[in-house]
Amino acid sequence: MFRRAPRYAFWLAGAAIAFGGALAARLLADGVLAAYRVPVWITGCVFIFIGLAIVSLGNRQRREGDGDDKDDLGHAKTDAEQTGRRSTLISELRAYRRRRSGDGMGGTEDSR
Amino acid sequence: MADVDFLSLFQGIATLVASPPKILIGRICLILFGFLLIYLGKKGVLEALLMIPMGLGMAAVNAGVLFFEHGRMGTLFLDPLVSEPAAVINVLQINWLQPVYTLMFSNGLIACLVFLGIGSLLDVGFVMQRPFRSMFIAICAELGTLVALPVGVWMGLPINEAAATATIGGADGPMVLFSALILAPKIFVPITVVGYLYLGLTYGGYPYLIKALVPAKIRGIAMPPEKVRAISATEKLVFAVVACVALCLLFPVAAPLFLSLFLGVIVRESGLTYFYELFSNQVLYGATFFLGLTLGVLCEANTILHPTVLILLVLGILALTFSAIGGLIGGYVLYFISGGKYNPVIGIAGVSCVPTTAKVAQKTVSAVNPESIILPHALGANISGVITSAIFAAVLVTLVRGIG
Repeated sequence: MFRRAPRYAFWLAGAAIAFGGALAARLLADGVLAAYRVPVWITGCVFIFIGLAIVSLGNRQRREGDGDDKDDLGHAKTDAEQTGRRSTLISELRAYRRRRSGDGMGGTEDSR
Repeated sequence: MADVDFLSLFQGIATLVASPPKILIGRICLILFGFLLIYLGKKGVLEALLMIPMGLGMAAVNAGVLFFEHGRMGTLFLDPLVSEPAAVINVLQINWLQPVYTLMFSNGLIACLVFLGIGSLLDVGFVMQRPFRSMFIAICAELGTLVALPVGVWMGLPINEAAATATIGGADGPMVLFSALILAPKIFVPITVVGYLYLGLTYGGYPYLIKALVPAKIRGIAMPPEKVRAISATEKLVFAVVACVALCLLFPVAAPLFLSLFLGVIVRESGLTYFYELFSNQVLYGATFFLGLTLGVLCEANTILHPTVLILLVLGILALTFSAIGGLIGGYVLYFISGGKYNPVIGIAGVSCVPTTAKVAQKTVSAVNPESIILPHALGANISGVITSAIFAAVLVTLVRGIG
């Protein structure tokens, strides 16, 4: 179920954890002595990092997930790909593009 | 002709002669130091974009001292010590760099503009592909900041000055400037100058530190090929928005820095081509030029010759060295966790200043094993380092201001 969650779920969960952690730390830090503020802030930072990591995981689960209906470039998989039937020319081309996009060099898509 | 007083005619020399011996020697040394910075900038040892304007500004301001009314000595560059509104209005009309200092420097705007430009150059996709490892290394690479703060207090600095100096361990020039302006406004000039000088020098020294701490056999480890996919601009945008708002929520004192950094990222990922071109070229280079020039001009002997400068020199190098060691320790931890598949040299890239330390890591590894490509991993740690050092600076500023 976790692996099938859409990326928006990861984004929302990650954002909620990050914002919630930051807000809670902020509110708590104002109410404690100065000496105890650092642990509160650090805890808040940990929540922000966890939230950001969950936002990032939205990508990873799409890459690794086998139940997603879109490929890495955002194209929906063909019926043949989803059902494992004989490949078509289009599915071959899409598989080739997916391989190109995940070449192991860690390159990211430039928005320019 | 016989009545001409040559010392009145050449007031730069006259003020030199009339200065106390300490200031006289200081001015001459700073003029020579300015020449040295220009030379090292031209040779590529230090960052030329910053050091050449800084070096010339430093030499010129120490040469161009003249007499004002009542025998008072000063320059026509800027006066950082003026704070009274009427006096500020007065000097704004006289000193040519005073508008830049008063309206852009003393309020941290110039640091934010540099951050805006840096943000527009950052590709957060490298962090998003490997978030845990990148952030872990970046946190380890803040060791210098954590070590320098108590050492600074132990060496006799007030906690606000020690905290401002400790931010040098974050290895981020604009961050040092921003923190020093808030925490230690009286000595922000020497702190920032020391920070920028060391940032240039230590990157030259980091390869030696890596060689000393990582054996050649481990340095040459080739990272196994990763199955990573391209991350879309929308995903990077979501990441930047969440990070920016959450960090501003937690640390409002550093919100201008967070906003500037992530605004640059968001402009890049939104495809706002005109803004992207503006921020990554004119804004970044314009702000860097005025930052270097103003810092140089602030290095007038009376301002820079502060009794704490020696302590700052020691603390600065200590902070940067420990940050590098912390990053390498983080790299070693991942090396052992991964069963020897992670190259610990990547840890040095956790010390921010994009992309210099990432390049240092790749160059050091390539010297041993040209087949080993660690740059994508190093850039992830590097970009995380920028975010982490902003967080550490924010914690210090909030904490120390709270104590004060």
